[in-house]
Amino acid sequence: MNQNLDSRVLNFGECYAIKFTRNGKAVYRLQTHTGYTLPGNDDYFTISVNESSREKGNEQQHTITIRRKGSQLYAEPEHLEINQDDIVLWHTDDPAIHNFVIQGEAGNSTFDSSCMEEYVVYSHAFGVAGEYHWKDAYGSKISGVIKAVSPECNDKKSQAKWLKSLDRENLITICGDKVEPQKLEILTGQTVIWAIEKAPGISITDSRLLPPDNCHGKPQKPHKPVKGKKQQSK
Amino acid sequence: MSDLLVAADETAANTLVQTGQTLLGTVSKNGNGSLGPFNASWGASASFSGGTVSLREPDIIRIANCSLNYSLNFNFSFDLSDIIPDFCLPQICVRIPFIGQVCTPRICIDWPSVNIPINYSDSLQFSSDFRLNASLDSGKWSVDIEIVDIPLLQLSPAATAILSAIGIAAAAILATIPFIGPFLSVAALAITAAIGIAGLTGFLGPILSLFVSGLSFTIHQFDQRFVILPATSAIDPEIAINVDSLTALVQSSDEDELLLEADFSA
Repeated sequence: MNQNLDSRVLNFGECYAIKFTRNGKAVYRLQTHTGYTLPGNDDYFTISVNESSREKGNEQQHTITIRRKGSQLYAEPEHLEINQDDIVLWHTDDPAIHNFVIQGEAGNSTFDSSCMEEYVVYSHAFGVAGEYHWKDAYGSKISGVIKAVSPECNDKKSQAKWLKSLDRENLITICGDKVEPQKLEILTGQTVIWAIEKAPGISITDSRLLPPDNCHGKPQKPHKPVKGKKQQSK
Repeated sequence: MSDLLVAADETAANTLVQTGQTLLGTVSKNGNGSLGPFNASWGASASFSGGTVSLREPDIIRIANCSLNYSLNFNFSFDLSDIIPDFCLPQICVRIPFIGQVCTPRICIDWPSVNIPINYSDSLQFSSDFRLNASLDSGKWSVDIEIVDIPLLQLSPAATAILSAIGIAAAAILATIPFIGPFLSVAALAITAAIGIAGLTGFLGPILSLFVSGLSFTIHQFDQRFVILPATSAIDPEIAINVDSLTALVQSSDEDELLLEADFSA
């Protein structure tokens, strides 16, 4: 089970969700690496976003599970019918599936789990205790610290107490350079949800997974991903 | 009356036994065994050294405080789900002002199978009687001493040390498993408790007994055709005798002696 904190690739215990604010047809692919590839003939999945007559605040969530057949990843369901402003969440329930990326287009915009922009959610369940200094692998100023503490559970009572604590809401919101809260203390097993209102294409990445600053101690120059289109905006 | 009689006192017998221990060298064995409720595959090697020899009529060599030096490595694997209960991370729903309500799915953690390797080296001392035996095989006479009974091996100190090593190794290996943190101490304790001192003694006993069961040291060897004088030239050939029979025994008079009685022909 991969327990790295890195939204650039998704694993068991992580989710990626996006709010579809425009109607039309969305097409997406599942990849096992970041970056763009030429689309194949039949390796994409679809979402039809219908115009909604529902009132604001009544949006629904749809969940897509990533599974594997042989060496191929597939989405279940392969096609979704949703309403405008609904949320689609991708995850896997198979611990053996590692490092997948959701990349797609919806009308004139794109969405990419490895490079998050607007109305996006990323969640990570922390299974290993430690202090996680996370930052944006693409070089923006956003960063934060998650301290995951493992409680001592020597009896059933304390285990039950810990299990009960696992549904605690741990929400971090990001808008531009603003991260709220910047520091969060959780128990192992708890899930942290990052909600991105607006960002220039970011990742949530454990700083230990990133190369160190250069030999003069200066921070690295930003490495922005090259993208052809803007992500959808409301 | 034998044709030839060779005698060795206890001091010389000590030297002979040490030679036998050296000749035996390191013996290796492997197999599978029960480690408490777990199965373990193991490999072990052992050598023998030291001890004090005393001679007993009619054919016994008693070795006191002989050291059995052993190295043991074993792997035991088990499904962690048998030790600690599987559990699920609950669904978490969060209302996000600019997105709406988002719920993460419930995910269940299926604990993996765990493999714990252990290496342990130690020595223990035992005392036992060995019976003298002379035998001829492929033109070579051997004087061996073979253990009479399987001695009692004191395994408790080793079992305690190994159980402690298992606890440390288990904790280190389990600590790398995601989500186990709160169960870690319980799991490590459960593993050592499931094995227990009795379980380890039951595991060690049959393994180490394999090395002492039927233990035999060759304390002396020589060719059946025994050269008395080597050839010095083409016209002066070697002079040799054939040892036709050989008996090894202990005789007590004013001193205990190990005797080799041989009959030979030219």
